[in-house]
Order: sequence, then C-alpha cells, then structure tokens
Amino acid sequence: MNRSNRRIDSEATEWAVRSHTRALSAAEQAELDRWLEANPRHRGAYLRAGAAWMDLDRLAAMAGPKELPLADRPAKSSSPISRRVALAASVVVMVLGGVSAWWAHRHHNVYVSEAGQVRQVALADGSHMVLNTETRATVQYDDAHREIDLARGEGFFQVARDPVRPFVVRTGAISIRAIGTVFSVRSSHHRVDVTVSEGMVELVDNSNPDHVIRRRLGANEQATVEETHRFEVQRLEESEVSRRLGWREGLLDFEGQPLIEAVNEMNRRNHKHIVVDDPLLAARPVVGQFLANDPAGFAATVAVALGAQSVEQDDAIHLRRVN
Amino acid sequence: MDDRARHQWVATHVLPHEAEVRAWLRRHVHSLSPSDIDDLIQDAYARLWSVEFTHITNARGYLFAIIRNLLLENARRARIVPMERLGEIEMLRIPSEEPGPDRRVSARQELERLERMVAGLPAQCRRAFQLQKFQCLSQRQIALTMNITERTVEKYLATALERVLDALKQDGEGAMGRPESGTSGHESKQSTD
Repeated sequence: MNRSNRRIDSEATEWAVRSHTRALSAAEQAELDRWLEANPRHRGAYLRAGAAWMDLDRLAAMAGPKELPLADRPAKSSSPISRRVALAASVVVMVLGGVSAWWAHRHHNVYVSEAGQVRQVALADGSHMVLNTETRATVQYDDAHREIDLARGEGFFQVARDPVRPFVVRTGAISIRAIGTVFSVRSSHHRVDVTVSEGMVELVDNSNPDHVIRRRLGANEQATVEETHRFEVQRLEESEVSRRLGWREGLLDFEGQPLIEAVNEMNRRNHKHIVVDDPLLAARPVVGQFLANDPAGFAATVAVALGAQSVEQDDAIHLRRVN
Repeated sequence: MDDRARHQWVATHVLPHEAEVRAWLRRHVHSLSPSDIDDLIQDAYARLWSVEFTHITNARGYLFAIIRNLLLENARRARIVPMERLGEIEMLRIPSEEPGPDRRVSARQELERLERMVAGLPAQCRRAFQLQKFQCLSQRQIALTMNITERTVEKYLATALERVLDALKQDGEGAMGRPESGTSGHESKQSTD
C-alpha cells in the first residue's frame, strides 16, 4: 500500500466512525462533504470503511448478549461506573469465545433475497433451494436434521434423498416434511401455500397442540392453510403447477458468458430477437441478472455495460459497437 | 437516509466478495502491485458510490465487472500497452460460481477473526472499541469512563476500524480466513470453450 491510499484509508475510517456513531456538527458535515468531493477515491474509501463499520454491528449482534461467568476483573477502578463498564467489557471477550464454540456445533446459514431477486442456493447435502423475491430462509443442518425456516416469502425445494435426516421446511406453526420431493412453500401474512410438483410431502399444522393436523400431499397437489387453520387441498393440472413455479425461470443470470451466448438464451425465450452485429462485441462477457422476457431491457443494459449501441430495426434489436 | 442504506447494502453484498476479487486480481493480473490493487479497490468502491444500487441483483458479478472495466480503462489510458495485453484483459473470465457454503467464511470464522483483531489492538484502543461496539456506549460515556477526550476515543475507534479493513484484505491470502486453495477450484480457467 502506498502512502497516498494509506492516508486516504486512515482519513476515511475517522470520518466513517464519526458519521456512524454520532451526529456531525454543521461544520464537520461541510468538511466531510468537501473531503468527499475532492477525490473519487475518498468516496470509495469512505464507503468501504462505513460499510465495514456497519458490518461490525452485525457481528456484535451475533456475538452478544449471552450470560457467562464474570472473570478477569480489573484490579483497580476509579469509580463504580467505570468498574461496571470494565467488567462488561471483559465479558465481551469471553462471549466471543463462547459463541465461537457454540457456532461450531451447528451449521446455521441465513439466506435473504431482496425485491425482484431470485436466489439459487445449493445446499450442502445436494438439495437445491430457490428463493423467490423478498424471502428469508434459515438453513440448519446437523447429523439428524435438515431444517429450513421460512420466515417470509417463497421457497422452492428440490430435496436430495437422505433416509437418516428428514428434510423439513417450517413456516410459523406449519411444517412440511419432504419425502424425496420437489415442492414450493409460500408464506404470506395470513396464509401458507404448498405446491408439490414431484414426490410427496407431509404437511403438519402444529398451531393447536391438542389437535395436530397432518395431511399428505402428492404430485400436482396444492394445499392452502389460512389463518383459521383450515386446510384446503386442490389438484392442479401439471401445466398449472409449472406456471405457478414459473418464477424460478423469471430471471436469467449471466456470470461472464460471451454476449452471443447470452443473446441466444434470450432469443430462445422471446419472439423479439436480438442480433449482434459485431464479432468482437459478441465475444465480450456479460454479467448480471436480467428479466428473461424483456429483450429490450437486456439489450439496453448490456449496451451500456459493453460500450455498445442498441438499435431497433426490422423487428429485431441490433447491438453494435460504438466507435 | 440514503447514505446509510448504501453503506448497509455494501456491507451485505459487496464486502463479503472483496477478498475474492483481490485474490482473483493477484492470480490473473500479475503486473499489479499490492498498491495498484488497493487503488483499484478504492476506485471500484468509488463507482459504487453513485450507482443506483437498488437495481443490482448480483452484486458479486457487478463488482467483478467494475474491476474488469477499470482494468480495461487503465490499460487503454496507458497507451503503450501492447494489443495482446488488452486482449488478455478482455479474455479474463470472471469466476463463474460463488464459493460453496463450505468455502464461504462461516459465522464462526468471522467471529474468530473479530476476536483476533480485538485481541491484537493496543489495550486502550481495544477498550474503547469494546465499549462502543459491544456495550453501545456513546463517545462521551467512553471518554468519561476512560478519562480521555472524545477526540481520542474516535482516534481509537478509527484505528480499530483500520485493522478490520486490513483483515478484509488479507482474507484471500489465507492469513485469516479460508485458505487460498479454497477458491482456486472455483475459478473458471481462461479458455475459449
């Protein structure tokens, strides 16, 4: 690291700490604005430092609060408050140690998809999970269980067989146990929809402990559980099932494939075709997620990224190099 | 506040990939010095400063794309770069897959890393950091408790943050996080397949 970016980093961390931990005075805010304006790298370093500072909050939240035996008292404290605080501080270090050990025992991962995002997750056992927009799923695996907690949203699950470890998706009081299966679960405010496209699941409603409801669902069946905890099961046409699960195909994800391959993927799905007029351009890599049914949007976005031009002509969209 | 939302977005979606990007640069662009890489990373974050981030669904791919474009821009600006050099950068493939769950730094590793970082801080600095982050005390309270000025508290906190940023960097070198070999299996080779 040279002196200049070291100095920038050091200034950026000071600003990040100040702006994230207290209100800046008007004079400070003006100084920060001036500093940010002066150099794009100041902005980059400040963004990076601020993000890292916020990320520490996540880690701190993950580490604390746990009751642990107190130890390592400071020998002398000038005032009662400082002693209490110092004690608390020494606990923190221990908490971190304790939590590390605790984490080692359980495999616990949280996956979140945001608005408009469809997220593919390859699970450790070979199962496959796809999260629809605005979904939060916690995956917990250990020697005897495979459990997914769906806090909100919709998940699609392709379950790898494992006779020893059942695969269970929970959402609220409802749990769905898979028996070698492909299925989806959607959880909204007042209702849960379970759609099975292959195999069989067992649906359990635990909301009333005295009256646990169990129901098996087979392929092309959909169950709806409303807040009233009435089950409604309906048989669906196969085409309807695939339509309902169609969101999984809604987005195309490119991770650096040549433009021409990405274009072929788009053209396969759409009437309006995209034509790449330049072999050099055709070889450039494409990165990003695109709506599969929006060739115009795809062309416009790619054009910006690759320094090309998107022109609509003769019922097709042409991508050309600008020179 | 938009500023906070942006920082949060970068924290969640970009920071976790920085070490991988650095490792990728070290492996594929041998002409870069460590300082060049630092500059590139600062430049990349600078781009993220103004981008409409709510539209970005694949932040990792986006980060790689920015870095790649920065490399191309730098190469073009240098002029003396031979044509094949440009072509080489054009050919650089972005690693196609995210490291699998086992390759990703686990929460446990993250906490261990934080623990190590905290343990390595000078005593006063460590105390200020712990009081701020774990006890959620304000600068004023910390200053009173430690009998130092608020300005000094902030200096200490900034030092701690600098260590965190350094740790982010070293991650891919296997010094703190997953071993270097952990990512190599996921690189797509430079190929014309």
